[in-house]
Amino acid sequence: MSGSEPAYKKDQVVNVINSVIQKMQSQGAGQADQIFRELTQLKTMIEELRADISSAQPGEIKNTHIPSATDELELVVQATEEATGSIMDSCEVIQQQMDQMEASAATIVEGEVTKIYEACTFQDLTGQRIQKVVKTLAEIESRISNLLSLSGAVPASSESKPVQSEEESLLNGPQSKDKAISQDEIDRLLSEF
Amino acid sequence: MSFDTSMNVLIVDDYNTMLRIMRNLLSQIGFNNVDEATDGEAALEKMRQKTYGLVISDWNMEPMTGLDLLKNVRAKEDGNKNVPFIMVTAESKTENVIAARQAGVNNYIVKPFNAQTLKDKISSVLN
Repeated sequence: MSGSEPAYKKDQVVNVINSVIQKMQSQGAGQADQIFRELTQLKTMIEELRADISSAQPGEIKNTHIPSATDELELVVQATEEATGSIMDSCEVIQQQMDQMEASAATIVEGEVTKIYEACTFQDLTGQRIQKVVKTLAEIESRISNLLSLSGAVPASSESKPVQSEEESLLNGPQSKDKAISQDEIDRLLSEF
Repeated sequence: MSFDTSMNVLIVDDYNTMLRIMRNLLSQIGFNNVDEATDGEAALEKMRQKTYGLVISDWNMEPMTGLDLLKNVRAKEDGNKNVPFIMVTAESKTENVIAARQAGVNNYIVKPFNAQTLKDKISSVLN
């Protein structure tokens, strides 16, 4: 199957099956050779479909890419929550100082602090939107599992991963806290060179 | 505004950030007796212990949503049965608003909202 052809030739498979059934019903056993050829063609198509699914590495998508994307999104929620918390810590300190300000200044400061609180509601909304994306990823993961089980494609453990260059393998973006090393550790590491 | 700000207020949201924002905005309006709950069931537990003058709740929470909380509150024959209830939520479809109204909500605020909107809605349900 060439790369430009659709991976799933459902219509062709159905057409071949219908053709075989018609021949068996109308011609009897005399057309055995023709039926054999068509069945062989059908078998080839099914094998090509399975090969195409395997080459798309659905197991890796399910086991690596989707969990990784989900983790990254959850870290975004966590980071924005922490940042919003810090902003509000500062707002609360400012509010506590307002008693010591002149009335006109206190009014202005309170208005601006209120605007900051209003802006901080973004964290709730982005969090909800990201949760929707996470649910969608879970649905995709579930459907890939079904596809894998129906097609009998090669399991993820025996799939060959695409080769990454050394530079590509170093580009992983921000790390979660349990995987990242601290600035102190970086300084210590560098001092050893 | 001409309402009693010494009343007990219950705010319900599963996002701590929103609880904190709401508490601070309510404090600016003058409400200082504010309790918090992180889902519908936790809110009902608070309401078993205390009578509230106002409930402000998110909708999208687990395991008990704000809508289920509202239905539970209106179904119970206790001091909180008729408490003014404001839904503050990102759910902004017409059918959501209708469902909340049919369940007995007093007002409905769509996130993101500003402090003036919150004040106006509180004023409208308490006056």
